[in-house]
Amino acid sequence: MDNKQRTLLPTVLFSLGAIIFMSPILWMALSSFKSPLEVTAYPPSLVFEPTLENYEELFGRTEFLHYTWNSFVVAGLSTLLGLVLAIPAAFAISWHRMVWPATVSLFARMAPGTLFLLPWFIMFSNLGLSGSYTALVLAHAVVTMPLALWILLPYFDGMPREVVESGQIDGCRGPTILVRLVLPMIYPGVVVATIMSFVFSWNYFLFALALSGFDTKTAIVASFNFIGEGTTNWGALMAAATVIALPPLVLTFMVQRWLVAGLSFGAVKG
Amino acid sequence: MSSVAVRNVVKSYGEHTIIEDLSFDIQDGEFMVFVGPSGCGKSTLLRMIAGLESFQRGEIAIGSRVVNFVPARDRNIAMVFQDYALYPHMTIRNNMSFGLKMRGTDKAEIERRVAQASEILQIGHLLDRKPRALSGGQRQRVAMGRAIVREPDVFLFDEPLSNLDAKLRVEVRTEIKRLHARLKTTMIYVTHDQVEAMTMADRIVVLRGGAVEQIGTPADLYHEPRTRFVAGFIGSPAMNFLPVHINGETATLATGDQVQVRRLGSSAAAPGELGIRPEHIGITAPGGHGVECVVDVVEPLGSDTLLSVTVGDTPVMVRLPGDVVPKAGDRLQLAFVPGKALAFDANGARI
Repeated sequence: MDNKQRTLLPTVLFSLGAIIFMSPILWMALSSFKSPLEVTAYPPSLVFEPTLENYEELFGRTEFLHYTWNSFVVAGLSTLLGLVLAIPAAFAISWHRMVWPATVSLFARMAPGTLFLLPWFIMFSNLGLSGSYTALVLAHAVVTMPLALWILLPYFDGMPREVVESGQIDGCRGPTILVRLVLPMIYPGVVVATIMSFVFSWNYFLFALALSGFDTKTAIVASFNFIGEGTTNWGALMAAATVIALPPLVLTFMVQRWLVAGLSFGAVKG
Repeated sequence: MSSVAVRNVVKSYGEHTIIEDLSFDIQDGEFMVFVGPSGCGKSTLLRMIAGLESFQRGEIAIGSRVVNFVPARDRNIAMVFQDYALYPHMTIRNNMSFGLKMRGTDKAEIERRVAQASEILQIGHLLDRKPRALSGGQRQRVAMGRAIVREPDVFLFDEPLSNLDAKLRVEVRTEIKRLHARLKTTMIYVTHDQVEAMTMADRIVVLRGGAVEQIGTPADLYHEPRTRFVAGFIGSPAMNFLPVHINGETATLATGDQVQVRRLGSSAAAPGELGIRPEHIGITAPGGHGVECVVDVVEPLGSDTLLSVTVGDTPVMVRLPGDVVPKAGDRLQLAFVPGKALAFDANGARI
């Protein structure tokens, strides 16, 4: 009895937490299948006739598929760029036990995005890159690189130094050691960093809003078009939000196992 | 195969000096052991020879080549680490062949060397496993195998037996000795365990606080320690030290007893210490005269009997033949083996 109570309480609390976290998402998904009338109805209806009208609007009357593709390109490439920069950086910072470069990168992450926007806008204009994928990918790397760096650091710190030294004695140079010995040991960290970077870049609104061109608009920026001055097309907006939420969700489920192990890595590795 | 020379090497971290002006030579094919208490700089010194650690002044040469600025990968050394440092994601075979692959050794040669090394170390049946499937002893063998296949000029061992249990330690110790006899390659071995040092070494470097305390063969260190530190560090159970007043060859104990000591030179009469090993103390025949003591603890080991006794106020360890078993509380007369009692001055130097 005592034991049962002990397991019951956490179950109830977790369920409550899950409901609180999941209900807006559920609301979003449900609303995307409601007709324009129903979506603003008060009190909201839980039972309704589902319709694909919003999705037809989304994909039929706007270029939303193209914008989603833009999001993929920008998030994918900026994640790649972030990792290419963050992996060697994290290796070096961890190996030399040098903290300040990591702190500097953290500052870049903590600084308000608006701080960067004006100089970037001028810079990219002068370079003729305004509205290009390149500008967006570079800008988003400011989001992904520090994130990946900080996710990776505890993995590099947790790696036995002797293995690296053994590699040196076995005749390897730094890059070979990194690729052939270190990365295979910390790949769960790379997976976590990849997913988190992708999700953060995917959802990052401000840089894309200011720097994307008409053709390179990301999905999250495009979804804003449904918010008008007088009226908001809630159904289409919810459909867009649902579509936007899908890739991170799928990715997260795919690598859930590593994600859980990875996020707690720094803590349990004594 | 190569000699190793360390000349006037200094290493410090900021203000803190780790190694101060060390110099010594290691002969080609020699088994040299660095021994000392933790923090004495022995591992740092080994890592400096390996090229894993920089130093501020001096010179390290492997063979005739000064290697101060040669990276570890180009020194043609192999190292066995305390924590094995195997590559966890590779099979044993790949662990052993990795260094050769990196050096572009051809495939047939790699195979030949891996087969040979795994035969020497009897790890042939483990080649397709990953390190995590191996026991500590097996992992340490693989780490040695990885070093052997490289056919390096110098083998470096950094406390390789510390993580093994006592029985296995003795086994692997013998194995490393056998390996040295077979390969005749220069080996440098770091340990804090003086028994390991004594049993394996051709010569031993005793380090203390980053400085060489004494270099010599195990027999040298045992019979002719130059300092009280070496005398106390080498030998098990450790040498006994008794406060005495030294005058010429005669040392007078606090109890008034007089004992002959073997001196290195002569100096004015002064207080100092007498050092005598437990195995160099006997008991006189009943009725004989010696240094009186009271037995505190008796430890019969079968082959020997260890006695903890008190002479005056000083505890003394005595090792007697196994068939002599006194009882706690007994009063005995101790006799020091002639020529075995050493004299140390107040600073711990042998006099």
